[in-house]
Amino acid sequence: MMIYIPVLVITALIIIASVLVFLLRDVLHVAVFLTIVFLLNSLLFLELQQTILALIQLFIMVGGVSIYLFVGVASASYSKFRYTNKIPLVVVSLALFSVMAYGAYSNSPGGFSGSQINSTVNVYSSSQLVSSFSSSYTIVSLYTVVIMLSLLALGAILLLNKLKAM
Amino acid sequence: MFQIFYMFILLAFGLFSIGVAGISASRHLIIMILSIEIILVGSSLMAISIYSYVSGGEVLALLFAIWSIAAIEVIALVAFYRYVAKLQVSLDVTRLAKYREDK
Repeated sequence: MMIYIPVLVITALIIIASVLVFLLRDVLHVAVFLTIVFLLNSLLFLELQQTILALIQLFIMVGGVSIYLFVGVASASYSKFRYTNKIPLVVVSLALFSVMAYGAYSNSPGGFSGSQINSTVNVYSSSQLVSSFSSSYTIVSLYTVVIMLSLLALGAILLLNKLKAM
Repeated sequence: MFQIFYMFILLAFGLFSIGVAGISASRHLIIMILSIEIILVGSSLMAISIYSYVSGGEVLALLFAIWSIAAIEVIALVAFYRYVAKLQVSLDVTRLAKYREDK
């Protein structure tokens, strides 16, 4: 269980970020937290030892789509209205999750319990993840470049909004 | 024994549930569309979990379809948002019924 700490941390962060998408007021903040969800999802791909797919996810969703979303949303940010009912959000999500998890893991035919899943998926442990990062400078540099580009785009948008240029 | 595969599947279920609950609990049009992105994140996580388990090539097509849908959706969202912002129309979906074609 201890070797799965990176997965558990990323799981907690991705759930918090995806809930904050519905609780924040400004649409630009929502876009930022959606970008964080995409980034953490890409890190989960990396945890599953699918490096190429993680980089594709990073380039498409964080590098391309999120920057486009920043520009599009920030250039017309006239609406601060946010109306999300918190109680239905919690109730519906918990009920749907319970139904899906029970249906998948119950003893019903078609559930996962039984002999279908008889081995584990290969996942990096904490030390393996750190060693893979330290041994592969390409992945680290690509992640750094994409995160820096996203932050640069966000900073430029905020500066242009401050200067009333957009 | 704790199997990490189950955890990825449960996380995908959780993200899907949060996305669906966001659609049903929100009245903001942009938030409703962005919650579909959360559903697509859960779907891609489910696809990549199954891909890393079975190592089958068919899941990759699903994954690229999910990425395409997510990208097209954001492009359509931004175009629609710019248009709505230009018209100064409320983004509350309960008020959209006022803006019919015959008016």
